[in-house]
Amino acid sequence: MNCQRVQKALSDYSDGLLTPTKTEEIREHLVSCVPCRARCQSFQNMLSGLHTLPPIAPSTDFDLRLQRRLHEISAERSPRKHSNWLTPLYRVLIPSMVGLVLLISAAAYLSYHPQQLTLPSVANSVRLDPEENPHRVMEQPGQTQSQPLLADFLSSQDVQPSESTNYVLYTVSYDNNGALVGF
Amino acid sequence: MIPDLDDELMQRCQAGDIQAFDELVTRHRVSLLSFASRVVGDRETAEDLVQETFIRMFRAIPRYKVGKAKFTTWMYRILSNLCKNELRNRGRRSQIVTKSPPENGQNDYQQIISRIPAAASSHPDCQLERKELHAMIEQAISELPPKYRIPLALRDIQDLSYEEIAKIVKIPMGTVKSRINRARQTLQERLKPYLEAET
Ligand SMILES: [Zn+2]
Repeated sequence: MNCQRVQKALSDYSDGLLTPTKTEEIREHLVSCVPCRARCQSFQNMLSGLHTLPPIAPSTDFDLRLQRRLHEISAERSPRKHSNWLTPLYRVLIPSMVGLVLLISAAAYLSYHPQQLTLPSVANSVRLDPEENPHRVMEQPGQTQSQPLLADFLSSQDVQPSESTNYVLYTVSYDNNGALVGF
Repeated sequence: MIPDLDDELMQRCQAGDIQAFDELVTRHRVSLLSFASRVVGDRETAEDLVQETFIRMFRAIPRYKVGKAKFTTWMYRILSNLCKNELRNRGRRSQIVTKSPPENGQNDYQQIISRIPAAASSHPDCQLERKELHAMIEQAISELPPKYRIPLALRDIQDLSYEEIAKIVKIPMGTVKSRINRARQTLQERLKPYLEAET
């Protein structure tokens, strides 16, 4: 086998696609021919470079972008059948919107009723299951706000208020792992 | 085995399982993105193409026939076609935009090569950093004609068999082999000084 044929066969040779006879012919040639051996080595280096190209991770908003589009497709295709798809998104977005409305209402209420209402206080740092309800009551000592709203909210969550601290109701969002992602 | 699990997940999707498609996305997004990025040469476009691939797969859930073809063959066929269209459209766009050659007459690959310190090529024992080699390999791939680029990436980046590649790109096995051979020879030729420095 001549050098040119060996070089042309390197790709198939590397992938084990040649017959045993041809493979043996190439092997013999490589033992005796220095330039072909160097070329074979350089070919192997290139393959190894290709095989070790690092994997590329998607950007941070990849999943959210995809979920949004899939949700649109589900909705247009069969709203009832697929309405449960992508529930984590619902769990964060819908209650957050509801909470925002409540917060705006509270601000409006306070501006018309400047006297503060006393709340039977609540336990320090109430933590609710973010999967079930992406709201938390967060302690903010020294402030009192919109207490009927907070009291209603706490009672709706079966949280027992206590006497010692004033609290403010925030609306917060969590990702699927319960990590805070924004107010 | 991977294909069985993919088919199982598709069956769960068909039964309305809300988590199964998320699992498919999680399983394949990195390899699809790694493939598409090298084929189209930029990550942002690659992400869009991978998103579109998942969307097409999602739309096809009701008519997907489990066991008819290998799941990954189907998946890579969708993405390969999207990549091919992207490159074709880009070819048309660039024909319109750039009618004159680059100022210094060098292509991108030659420009990268020229930025590598001379020592890397003049001293045989000076090993080129693998990272730099990877960057040059990516650049050299992006300069291959599209018909060579896709089979090469499927074989040498995704590690798929010749048989599966033939099914994905819908060309005969012999043609797959010769295109991969040609693509590898071209890459080797272009990267020659650096591959030899690696030894
Ligand atoms: Zn020889």
